[in-house]
Amino acid sequence: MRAMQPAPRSRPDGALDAALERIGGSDNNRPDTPDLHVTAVRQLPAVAAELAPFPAALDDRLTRALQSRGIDRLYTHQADAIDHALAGRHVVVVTPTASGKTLCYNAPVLNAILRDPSGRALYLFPTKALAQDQLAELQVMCEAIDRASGDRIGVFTYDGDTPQDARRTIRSRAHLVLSNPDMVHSGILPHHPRWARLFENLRYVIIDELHAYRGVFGSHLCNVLRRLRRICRHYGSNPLFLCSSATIANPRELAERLTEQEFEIVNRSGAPRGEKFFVFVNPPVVSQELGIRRSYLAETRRIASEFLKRNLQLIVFAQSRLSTEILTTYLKADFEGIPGAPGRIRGYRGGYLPNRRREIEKGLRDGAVRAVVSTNALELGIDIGGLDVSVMAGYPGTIAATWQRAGRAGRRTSRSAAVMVASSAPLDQFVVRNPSYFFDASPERALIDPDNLHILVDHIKCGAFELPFGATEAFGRHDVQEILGVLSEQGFVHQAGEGAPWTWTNESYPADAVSLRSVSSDNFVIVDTTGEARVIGETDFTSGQATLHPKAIYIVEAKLYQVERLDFEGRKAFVREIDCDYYTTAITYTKVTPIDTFAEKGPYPSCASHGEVHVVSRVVGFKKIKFYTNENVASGELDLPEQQMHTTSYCLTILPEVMRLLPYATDERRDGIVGLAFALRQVAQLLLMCDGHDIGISIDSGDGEGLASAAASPQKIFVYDNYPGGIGFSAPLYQMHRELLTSTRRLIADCPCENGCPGCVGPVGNTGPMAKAAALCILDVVLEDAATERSTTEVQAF
Amino acid sequence: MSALADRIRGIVAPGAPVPIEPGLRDLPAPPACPDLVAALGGLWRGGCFVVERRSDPAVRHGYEAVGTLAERLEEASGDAVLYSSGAPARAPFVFFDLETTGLSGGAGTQAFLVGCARFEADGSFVTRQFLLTRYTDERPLLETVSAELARAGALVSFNGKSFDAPLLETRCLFHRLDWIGGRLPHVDVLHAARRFWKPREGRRDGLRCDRAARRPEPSVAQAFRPARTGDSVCSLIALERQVVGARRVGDVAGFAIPARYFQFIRTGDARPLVAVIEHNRLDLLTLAALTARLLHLARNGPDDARDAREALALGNLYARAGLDTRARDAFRCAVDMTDRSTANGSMATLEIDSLRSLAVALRRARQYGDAAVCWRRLLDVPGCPRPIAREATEALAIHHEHRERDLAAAKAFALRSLENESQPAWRDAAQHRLARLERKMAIRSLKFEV
Repeated sequence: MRAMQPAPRSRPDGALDAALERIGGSDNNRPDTPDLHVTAVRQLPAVAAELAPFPAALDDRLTRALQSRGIDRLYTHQADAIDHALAGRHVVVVTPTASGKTLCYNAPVLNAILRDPSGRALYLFPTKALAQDQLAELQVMCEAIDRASGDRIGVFTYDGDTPQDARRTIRSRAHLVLSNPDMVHSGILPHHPRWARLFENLRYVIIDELHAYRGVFGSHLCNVLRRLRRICRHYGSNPLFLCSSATIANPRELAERLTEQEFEIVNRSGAPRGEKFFVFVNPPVVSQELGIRRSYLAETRRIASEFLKRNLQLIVFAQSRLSTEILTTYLKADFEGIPGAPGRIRGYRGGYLPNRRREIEKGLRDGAVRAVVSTNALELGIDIGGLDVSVMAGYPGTIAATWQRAGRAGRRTSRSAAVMVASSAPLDQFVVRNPSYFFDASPERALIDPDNLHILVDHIKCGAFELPFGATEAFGRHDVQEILGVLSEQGFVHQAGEGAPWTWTNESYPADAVSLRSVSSDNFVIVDTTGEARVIGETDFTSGQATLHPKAIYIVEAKLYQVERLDFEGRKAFVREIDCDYYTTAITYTKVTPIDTFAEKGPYPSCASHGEVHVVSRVVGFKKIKFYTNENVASGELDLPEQQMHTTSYCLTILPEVMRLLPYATDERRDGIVGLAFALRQVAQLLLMCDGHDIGISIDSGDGEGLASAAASPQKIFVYDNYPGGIGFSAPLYQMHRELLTSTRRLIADCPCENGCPGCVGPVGNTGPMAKAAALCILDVVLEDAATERSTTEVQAF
Repeated sequence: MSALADRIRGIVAPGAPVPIEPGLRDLPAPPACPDLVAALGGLWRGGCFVVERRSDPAVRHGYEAVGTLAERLEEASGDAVLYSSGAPARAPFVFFDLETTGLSGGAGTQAFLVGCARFEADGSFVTRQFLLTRYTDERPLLETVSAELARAGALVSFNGKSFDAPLLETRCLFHRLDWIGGRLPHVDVLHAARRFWKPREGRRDGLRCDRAARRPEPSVAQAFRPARTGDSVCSLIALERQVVGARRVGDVAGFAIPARYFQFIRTGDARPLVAVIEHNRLDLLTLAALTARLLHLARNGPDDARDAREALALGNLYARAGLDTRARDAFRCAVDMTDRSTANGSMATLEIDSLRSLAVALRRARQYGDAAVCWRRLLDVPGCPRPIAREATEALAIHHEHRERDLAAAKAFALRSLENESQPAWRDAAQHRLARLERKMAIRSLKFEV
């Protein structure tokens, strides 16, 4: 990837070159320059296509249909994937955007159905929009087959939007069912007798966008697939899994963990790729002292304009719905032609009606739309054709997502560019100042923990509802028989005698109580009482208190509401529309108590460990923050009940001896710990490929109140999984201990601010003036020690 | 490993199921060898436990004797097609009703008691209730039930088209058995009951929703949908009281039934099921009584109707079947019956519906004058809802413009439409009519001048 060939000066200077030059990327042969406006320019050379003939085993009717659509040969990765599938091997395909991934699974599926019309396939997409997009593509393929040979293949989507009266028809006529994990979980598996024909004849299960299934969602999907395979065994089928994934560090491991099957991987793309430039831009510093930079949205607007002026087609990715609308407004103001003319600049985000979305996608494909500003809604594989430029307003959060968004430009053979404009968030600043982290490091690992007891027990209930559990049956890594025993105590299941199956003996429909996208489906709903009471949103239980406490400002599509009352028992927050110029953030007090240590490294002068912890948190107050200036204008106290959970945590312990070594006053040392924790959290999020709310952080400075006793106690920083039971972040974090600390040090040391800013150890007002220096000092001591870690013994507890 | 069990207990306990009814908890310990036959009075037949009961013709159920019900069903069996959405329903009727382990449907919901019933030639009512005593006996149970149903000329159920039949179908699919019910004509009495006996708006007493929570197939979005509170389906118990005139003593509440079955499954003690089996038997008897009433009404016409509501429903029943003359008679009867009564809120609604139905039926029969009388009366009913008033004024305007050729009267009605109308589309239509009427009137006055 580190392609440092001379720039292709020989080519005629195109519009793209000119635009890149304006941005500051004229010399793409220089080393990374973290302090400059453009911190990195990389050139990814063009790659020629590698082709292979159709595998001989493919049905003639299929190859004829493909030929009628202009496909005479396959890319090598397509041929490889099809070979694996035809040979009965599970396969995961990892190749870039627009490399023809869908054919890798569509070809074996259609082939199987042409050979045996009773065959069936189930496609899983993470979103309904993707299923719709694939439906269109598959229907075109099936029409081609129909024209070529007269074979009819039924393709239908089956999701929450499918009308009740169409469902029966779909069950009987669909060869290919396009659905999503949520629907399989609550609408298909619990009704498997009605889907008997599908399950009896299920040849293939396709999991598209595999990388989307990480964390809680992935842990749930793994259990849904366990249930799916149980049902298949019941009906005597054993489907093959065909998966596709964007680039992540561990696609094969993820596929194997999700499906609990052995996989072949196809990751050498045979698709051609045009030359591409990748540019990192850091908006210029406006205030050195406070570490404030020029607004990244303004910078994005300027950069997008350079491309638009030269009539290059582009996509702009914004981080939120709000910034999508803001950027769309800016660009429309700058470039939209005469009023009433068809829109050349469009916005695109969740919440737009399907028709409008289809129209925009078509406009992008035929070139009528010159620029689209989108949330991550267009990141996944919806077909919008190849664009010239992809501009990212803000770092997308993960390496994988960044490549995915960059891939939206230059999908075929043309020359293209991707530009990432960093915001002032710590993660953005780390990445933009350390371009090699992005370009050279492997992307993130996708982690799941399907045996989280909360998740597992929910799915065992669902499984028992679907089919009695046998007395020797296994499900997941824990002892399912023991779990069923407890469920039996609670009246959910019953075993008629030793060796008899466990049958479901409860009135409920367990799948309804399980949401795949969170650990608990015990959500808060937000009721707007401004006019007639109506529900305007929902918030998961864990973040309910912090976002819905009384007087909190709740924001929906730029409309502000104030919480008037929180009915904690009823899980309802009553809000009223309000006109104000501030938002609120909660002050949460969290205490973490270790229960059990699974492993630790140590002991002097710091040690890292991971294990089970008890987390007690309480929202004690809130701050009012002014929009735009982010001033703290007021605060208030709150009296809300405690929340408790057991979860897993990574813990960094710094011994009092180390603290005493620091050339700082006691309270400054403490500030150093607070600042270190702030930065640690950001880096942990980066390394774990997780969302901000997936992990929590807490500091334990000893039991005493006074500084004197605190100075004598070890300082502990906990980075815990913010889900009951844990979701599998703490063990990998423990393994990445050293990387975590070195990256944290780099984040703090490379930050140009003087005494701390939101981009490193937190704003000065939050910590203290010496936080940055003290945090660095602590890390230096700890890392010096870590370098000699090899000599210390590793203690395996538990 | 009990640590695992403890952790699971901590996770599972919050969702603990409904506890056993207090009265049942205190039952003395079950006999060492639970004897189903002794406890329930049934017998084993072909791997299936059956409870058979017979009600003699002389036994009364509410207003009528069982023998009378049998007679009425027999003499009116030809009219059953009116209630079976066109399927060729005929005698013998097999009434069926399930008791299930839940209301949600899906693979984990079982029918643990399948109640079937029919009248015998001597007029007695015989119920056969098939009990699932073990999970593994479900297949023979379904086979036996299929054989029982196969003799039917029509199935009769209460909400069975939406709940009982799909549920049994799912059970059959689960065991890869053929579901006979799909090929038999099916009379769902709930559908007719709603039209004949469900109280109108303005009345909140009596019939309320009972089985509304039953749903054959939930979706992901279900959790976010509002609860179906407004769906006031008539319950069988309420109909039993008000239409059949019977009253139950010591009946087990519907929501408590699954828990009683689960208790039986766990302990083997069949005594909690005694009341469930009786509940199911009475449901079947009431179902038969309601069916007899419906068929009797269909056969004898509106003269037997107890109130305007029944007459109106009867008119609609005939109209749907294309029996226009009988429909008009029924509507006329409904209008007369509302006349006689004191006008409270629900009666006004009934009168409006009856008048409107009659007006439409008359117009279809080209009795325009009579229809116009109805439309006019309709406008005089206080509180006539706007859409119906709109329809009436429009009908009257058309009538006077095209049939009576009384342009002044037509104009008066068109003006009235315009006055009361706020929706642009309808205002436009009214204005269009007015303009045309004024043109016509101008031409006519021109003629007079000439």
